[in-house]
Amino acid sequence: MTETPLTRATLLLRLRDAADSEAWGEFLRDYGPMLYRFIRSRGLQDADAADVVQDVLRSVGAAIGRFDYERDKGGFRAWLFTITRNKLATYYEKRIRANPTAGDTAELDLLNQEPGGKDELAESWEREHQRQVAAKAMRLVEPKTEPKTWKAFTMTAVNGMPADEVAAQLGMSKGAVYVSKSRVTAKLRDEVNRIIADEDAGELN
Amino acid sequence: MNVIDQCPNPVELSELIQYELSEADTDRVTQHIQNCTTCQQKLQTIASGDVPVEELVQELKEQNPEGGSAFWATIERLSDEVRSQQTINLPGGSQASSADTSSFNNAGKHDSATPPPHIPASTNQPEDLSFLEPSDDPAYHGKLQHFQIARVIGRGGMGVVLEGFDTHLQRSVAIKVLNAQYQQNDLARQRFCREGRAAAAISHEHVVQMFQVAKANDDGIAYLVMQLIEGETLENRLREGQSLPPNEVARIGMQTAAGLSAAHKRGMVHRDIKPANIMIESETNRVKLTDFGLARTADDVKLTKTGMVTGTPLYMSPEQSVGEEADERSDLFSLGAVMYEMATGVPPFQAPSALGVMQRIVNHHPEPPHKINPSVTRPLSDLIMSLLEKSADDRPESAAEVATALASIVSEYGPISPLQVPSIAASEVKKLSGSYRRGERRWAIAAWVTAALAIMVALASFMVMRPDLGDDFPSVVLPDNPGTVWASDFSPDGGSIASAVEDGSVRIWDVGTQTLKKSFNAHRDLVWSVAYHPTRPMLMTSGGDAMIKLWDTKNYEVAREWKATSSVRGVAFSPDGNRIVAGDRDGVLHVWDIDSGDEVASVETPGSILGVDYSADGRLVASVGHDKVVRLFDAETLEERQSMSGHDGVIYNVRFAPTGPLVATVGWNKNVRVWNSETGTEVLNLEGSEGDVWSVSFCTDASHLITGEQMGAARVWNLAAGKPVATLRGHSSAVYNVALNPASHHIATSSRDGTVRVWDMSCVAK
Repeated sequence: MTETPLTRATLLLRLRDAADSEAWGEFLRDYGPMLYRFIRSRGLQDADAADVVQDVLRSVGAAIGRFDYERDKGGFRAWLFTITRNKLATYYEKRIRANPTAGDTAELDLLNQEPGGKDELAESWEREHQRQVAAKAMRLVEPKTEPKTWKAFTMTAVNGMPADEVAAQLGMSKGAVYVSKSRVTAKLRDEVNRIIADEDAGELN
Repeated sequence: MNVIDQCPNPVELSELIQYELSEADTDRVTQHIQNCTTCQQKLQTIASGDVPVEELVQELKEQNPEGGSAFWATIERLSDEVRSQQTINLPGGSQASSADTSSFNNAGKHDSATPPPHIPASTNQPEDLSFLEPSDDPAYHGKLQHFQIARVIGRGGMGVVLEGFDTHLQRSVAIKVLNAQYQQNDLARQRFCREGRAAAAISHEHVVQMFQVAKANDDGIAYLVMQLIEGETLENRLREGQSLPPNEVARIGMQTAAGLSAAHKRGMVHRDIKPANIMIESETNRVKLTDFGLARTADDVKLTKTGMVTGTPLYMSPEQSVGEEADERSDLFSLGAVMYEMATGVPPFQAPSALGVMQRIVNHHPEPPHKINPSVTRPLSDLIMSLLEKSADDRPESAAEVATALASIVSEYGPISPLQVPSIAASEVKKLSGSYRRGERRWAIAAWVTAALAIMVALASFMVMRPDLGDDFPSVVLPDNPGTVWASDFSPDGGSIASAVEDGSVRIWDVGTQTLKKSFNAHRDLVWSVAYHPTRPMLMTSGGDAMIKLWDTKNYEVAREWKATSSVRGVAFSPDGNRIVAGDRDGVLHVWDIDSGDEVASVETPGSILGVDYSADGRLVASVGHDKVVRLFDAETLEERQSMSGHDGVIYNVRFAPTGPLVATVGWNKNVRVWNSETGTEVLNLEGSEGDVWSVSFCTDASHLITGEQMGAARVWNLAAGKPVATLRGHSSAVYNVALNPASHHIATSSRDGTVRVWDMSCVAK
């Protein structure tokens, strides 16, 4: 249960070993929904989005051995973004070829823009990434948090229940609910920042 | 009280969050926060810092795709692939391909079969891929002109084989690049290009399709682009030294012989038949013959003067061993040696050295297979031994004959489906009736008669057993069109097919010989449709450049042309051929007189038009498209007569029955509908398609419908039964058009995969 960072190979390294199905399982669980949401947000239908997710993940599998942190300066996230954007562009090119529409062409133009700038696409990607990281942070923080404190947080922050109702249900003071919420929030913030820093440092845990 | 009312400072709040306050202070500040909304917010702001935690977690409810999403099936599939990959990798570790000369070792597995694959080649053996340019897509190794290179598939004697993605045609291909040391060698280079040209001339279901012979312009690297086969080599299957089941021996032998006969028909000898050159496609289990590296036209002797030993000794014929000319019958000997190994698990001529092997090939008479492996039947064993006759004159005369004889042997093992019987040109089979082989013939004659009977029986039982005739009718492939083929049409005599290609060209094929007769640039944008005039020597095309052109088929010059307002996808001739109807992207429907060139009528409809047709009596015109409504117009005035709704998406195509009032439409979401054009009512809503349906056509007596689908199948429907009766599979991508040969029961399907296939459906017809 307790893995130290030293004994645990980073996911990124483990992914290079195609036989490590556990690592792939984790990767699919963490990144699959994010890719799906991002691709859906570009206007694709469910089935098309699933196809593009598959294309992206297969490409990642094929290319992870060549991902070089030193060289690919933007880090894994930027690398994944490039692959995703290329696959989306391929999808739109095909669609335009089959049946050109103004909307598709505009979308393709957006995809083909020079990366780097603060464009809508990159912002949307970052946003989906943060959501993915937040989900992961919640998985990591929950076991380290006193159950009542955790509950107070999820009931208020995730489910949007009023503090006094939560207080009544959990048998704590309303003030304590606010404090619990803030404490979990802070832990999540730290966790999110840690995960992103690790990713930026090339360690995909 | 006063203490509680006083707002804590930010440091205190921060310490509260971090559990750093004393218990008393914690209680005090907590009590304060209970009633102070300002501090509640301040506390939360401090806790969140630079991360919008609350917003993010609120969205977590919709974090995962819905339960019914295709996403989950995708993830499951990918996970399964990873798991299966794991078991494959466990025993051997690296799956380095054998060190022989095969060009396709382990070629299997690209897209649909591959888990996130590791790339053994890149880690185990550093490959000199310096000729690749860097790719802008990090998912690839690099690129070679417009091919993105995904991985190294294998290594051949003369070069490396790569998996690439053709960004122009949007398909995966295998690319064979001549080794650097050979690029400078004229002889090797000559031979390499010869491989490409030789194979490109062959279009057969059991031969790996060659797409192009190319040269990277800057440094002149020569490479071949060919069909990517997912599967394994026969060599892999034989690796364990185990024999194969006799029915498999016969089937693989039969399909190899069929592929060989296609090459021999063009006067080409393969010269290097061996297990490493026999690919078995994983999905269909079909044999694909590859590596025509040493193949050469029989009348070309230049290369033999060099003294280079060609061919792999184990499967070499006696005449090749002694340095004599190889001919078609040498390939048959090699096929015999391969079949011998499949049947017994050991090659017929083994020795410690290459020279020893060659000596044995010339002098040694191996034990017949049935004596080594009792499960091999006598006819199969006899056939293999006849192929291994030392004198070429004593061997069966042709590969086609061997394929036919093997078909009879295959059928002894149980009913065979039509897919297992390779297509051998009828002319080839006819040749058999006269002479079989010059030596002993009894078996061959008997086999031929049994074969004919057995195939008939097998086909009959197969059709009775399965209402859906199955997935693999033999088809002839017209390959290598430079892009998606949007439409094709048979000439009125059925002898030619015209195809409309994405790159703006039109190609004319001879159906009988499967050769390209003519290719010309027709439109400045892609060509959407092509149709032969019903009586005159004319061809009509329409394209993305808004043009409709009539071509004289004698010289392929433009006889007349019209300009619509935008891209024209739907065009049709009136039954008498005097008029055409065309519908464009702006929804304008035009009728023109082809003799005067004048517009007879035009009308605007809502939404883009994708398909049009004339009724058989010439009185009605139909149009379909984006607005999901089937519209029927008076052909003279274009006054609307009927509008029929029911499609739940865009309609791609419409076709009137050749007799009677029926009209069929197809489109998105598996829609195949048949309407009565007189009453405007829906007659049939046919279910059973896969994906969107692009094209529809009636057979001549209006009893059957043929449709072409997004997933790559074409389907034949019996209208009386309201059910599909046959599925034609073979295209690797969407079938955009189906056309019927008016003179016979042939169907031409054209596809996004860049090919046209011609299917013989006479067995379904009656």
